[in-house]
Amino acid sequence: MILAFWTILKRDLTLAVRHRAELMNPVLFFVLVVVLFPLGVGAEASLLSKIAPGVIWIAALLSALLSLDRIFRSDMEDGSLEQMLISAQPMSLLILAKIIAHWLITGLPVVLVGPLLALFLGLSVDASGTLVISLLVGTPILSAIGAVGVALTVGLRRGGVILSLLILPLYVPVLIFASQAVDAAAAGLPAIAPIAMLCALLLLSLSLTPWAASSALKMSVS
Amino acid sequence: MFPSLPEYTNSQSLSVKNLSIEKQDRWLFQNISFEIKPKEVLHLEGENGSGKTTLLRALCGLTMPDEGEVFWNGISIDKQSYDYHLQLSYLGHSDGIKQDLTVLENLRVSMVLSRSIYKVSDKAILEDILKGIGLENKEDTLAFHLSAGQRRRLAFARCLLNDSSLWILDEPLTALDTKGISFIEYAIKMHIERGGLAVITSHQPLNVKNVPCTRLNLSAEK
Repeated sequence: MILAFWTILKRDLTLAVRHRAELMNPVLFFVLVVVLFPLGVGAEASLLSKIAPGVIWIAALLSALLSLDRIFRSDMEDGSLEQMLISAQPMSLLILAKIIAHWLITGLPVVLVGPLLALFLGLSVDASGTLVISLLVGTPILSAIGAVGVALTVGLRRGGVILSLLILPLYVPVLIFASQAVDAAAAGLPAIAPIAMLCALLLLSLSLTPWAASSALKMSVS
Repeated sequence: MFPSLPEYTNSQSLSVKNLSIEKQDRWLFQNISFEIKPKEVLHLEGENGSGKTTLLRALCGLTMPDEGEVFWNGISIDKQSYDYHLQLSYLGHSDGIKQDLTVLENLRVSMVLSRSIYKVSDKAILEDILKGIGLENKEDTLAFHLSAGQRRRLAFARCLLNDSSLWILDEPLTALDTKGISFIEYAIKMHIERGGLAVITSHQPLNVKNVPCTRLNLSAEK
């Protein structure tokens, strides 16, 4: 079972590395959206540092949404997904591996670039630190919830719009707690409560979404 | 290839009772019933669009039938999906092969998914199988660079990797040359002699001598 987990994780990472252009896409999108904001709202330092947490988190959310489809789409198209469903391994475990692979490919670069962009927008060092923690805990939730959405829509030929409608409302709690945490840190207040809520959401989503996605996939392929 | 392998230990009968599947408000087929026992082949026939692939997918548990059930050893496959999947090899319409993985990487993933009786690190067995399917010296070639026929052979290799007693093959001979066809016919014959079962659809005549072969024509069942 553990071997199956590692095998799928390694397989998805290998596939991502062999598609370098796709690998860069989400993080590039993330950077571009954040960089465009000062051009749009003006370079007033106090305003930028005030909206920075929200901007960075919304950009992270959108870049996750942009790359979600790949969790299952290509496997669906070439028949690999069928083989996983009828394999002698628990599907939810394979899905957990795919969620973690997706996070490593799209979420982790965002976590790494996030603090640089935060400083660029004039966020204080303290608040940037909290931002990194919120991204580190929050972005895996995006991959996990997204996996359920993709599993539900992967059987549809044009699932993109429905996917956004389905997933974005579920991302709202993550956005609220994460920006609350960074706002608190920026105001010099303790941010532990919203971060703890994010941790709870992370555990909840990692433990429940693989099962939900597995059931959804069974419906999607039939 | 095929050192004299022992008989399957878990070979059981596969039966279908009153299976009906509806697609887009019309019955694809209705009340299909049959039973095949170890050492038997069921050859599904029928025109394009008569529901052969759908029936095979229902046998695998990938498509939920609207009425009726599939039984393995007299027990519904929904109630023993793990044990059933352990006994099942399915070669679908799509090959289930990742184009951006090498031949060997594809085989290894399949081995882990199917809980192969062979070790992933067992080079001799892998070389043996690759030689059998005519892909020797191609271990490190990306599946993308293989021809359609070679990919089909690689997909078929899944059936040889684990000790599954039930083979469900959807058009196994498409895109294959005469050598490939005779290899697959030979493999099916060996499989049946070891006490296995096979359900096959094929528009090409399947030349397996001395094998009890039942025919079921889906077009005639309407």
